[in-house]
Amino acid sequence: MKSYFEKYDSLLETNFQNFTANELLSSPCKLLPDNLNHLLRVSVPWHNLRGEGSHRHISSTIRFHMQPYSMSQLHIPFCKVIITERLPSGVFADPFELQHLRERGVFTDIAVFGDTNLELPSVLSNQLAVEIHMRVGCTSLLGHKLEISVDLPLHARYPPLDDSGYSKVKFGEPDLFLSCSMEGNGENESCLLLPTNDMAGPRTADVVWRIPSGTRAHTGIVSAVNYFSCCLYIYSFNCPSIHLLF
Amino acid sequence: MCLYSVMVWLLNPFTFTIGTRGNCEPIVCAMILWIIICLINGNVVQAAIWYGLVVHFRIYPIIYALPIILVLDPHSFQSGQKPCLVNWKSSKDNTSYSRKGVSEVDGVWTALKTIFTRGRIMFAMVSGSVFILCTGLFFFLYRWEFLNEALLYHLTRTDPRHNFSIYFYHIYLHVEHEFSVVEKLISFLPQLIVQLVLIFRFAQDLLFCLFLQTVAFVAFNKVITAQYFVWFFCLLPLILPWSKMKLKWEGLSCVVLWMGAQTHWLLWGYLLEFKGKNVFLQLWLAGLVFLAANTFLLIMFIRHHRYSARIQTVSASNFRE
Repeated sequence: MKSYFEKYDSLLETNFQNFTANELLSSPCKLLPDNLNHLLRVSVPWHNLRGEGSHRHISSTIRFHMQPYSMSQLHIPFCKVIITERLPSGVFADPFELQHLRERGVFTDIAVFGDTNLELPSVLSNQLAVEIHMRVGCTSLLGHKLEISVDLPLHARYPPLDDSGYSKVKFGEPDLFLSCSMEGNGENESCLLLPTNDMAGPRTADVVWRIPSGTRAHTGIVSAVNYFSCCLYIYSFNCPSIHLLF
Repeated sequence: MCLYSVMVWLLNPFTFTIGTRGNCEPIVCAMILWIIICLINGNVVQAAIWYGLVVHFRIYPIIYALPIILVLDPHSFQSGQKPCLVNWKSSKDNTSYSRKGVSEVDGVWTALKTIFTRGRIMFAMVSGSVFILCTGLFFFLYRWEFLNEALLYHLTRTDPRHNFSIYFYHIYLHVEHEFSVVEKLISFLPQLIVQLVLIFRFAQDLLFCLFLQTVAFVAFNKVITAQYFVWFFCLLPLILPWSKMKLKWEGLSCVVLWMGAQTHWLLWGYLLEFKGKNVFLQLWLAGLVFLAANTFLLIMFIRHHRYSARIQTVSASNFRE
């Protein structure tokens, strides 16, 4: 994502797809069979919001299905799963919080890209992307399946005004990659693999976050009462009874 | 009384909670108290140096500039000498004498000489120089990033997220349309008017004036967070000995009212932030109640104040520039 944001200012879908196809996966990777990507299938059987209020977690279970041939080619326990959550406008991840999680070993590596000003409302901010790296390890392997659980803390910005009093923010599915060292490659060279979506696998419903928003109809009354109140309170300092004390 | 006054600061839950959560407010408070000590001891230059430093550190003490300048009355402050402190009653005659003396002297030039005195000019020059020096040093080290984050940011900042201020909802409702220059200036007016009224009414009782100014500045600010309360809690021990307010039941009612208004706001804040309920209007109304509570507290302190010892006005025959 770092190289993406060096080139683009915002997370438009078309830009991201072009970047993935033309730059991320176009790098030559030695000894990578042409059809290896198709031997890897991925499904996201669980992708949901947990918690309530302005501070929640997005939990995902990611399942990779591998063919035996691909498992011998790739050193699976030493692979890294790269998950890119392109967050919708109105939601952000706190980079300091994520840094603490990385220091505690929850993630191998994690970074936030985009507008990290936590105070801005969504109309004044850009979309964020979170890139999570997680080392596979032996415990995640179940035969020919690799299962990873990710729990990402998120926070809501103030959404645009809405007469209904709430704004709905919809999450897309995360983008998933597998980074593995191949047999015959140099020790420091790894291949980035884009698994195929497993259409036969279970799919979760759309994840929607309902965030309270200000109501445009309140604008006039709030401004008027604010100014009237200030005048009233200021007048109270000049009450004659206080003057008499001096 | 001394012990109870100190306990109000040291054993105040706000003090140790806010002071230990990673911000620098106690340092600022210590510097302001030291400036007051310097002024009481007649060390104008030392007070000016620390004042320039504290304004560089935290901008809000700039509101104390005018009352300090007013207190540096040439009839009271002699350069390098400890000013004399007297009760308010005994000083009434001296006050009327000195004022009569000044009014008899003709000419704009003399009036200007009375205002722009050596002590005041020295304080302004020294504190201003220290401020500019510190700003220049950090600009040299960090360039525009420092200037933007430390100073310029406050000119354009907007705080639409919920806080104790009554302005947060007003700012959020207007976030899609930028405020005009007139609207921005108008929003500063209540705070400015309150500050000027308090200064010109209470400047002679410097400690009381600083306390009232700080409470009013926080109450009418566009953003209010709990850490700002520490700014006036450190001045509370300085004025409590001079208050006629008894703990039972006036003092307790002030405490209960102020804490109650805060708790009321926090309840709605909890529902908004942690339960995701749309309670923006209720939260804003709770902010109005909190502002009313702060105003009530200010009036109570004013009505029950007995005045601390003031700096004696020297008679015209003894006055030397």
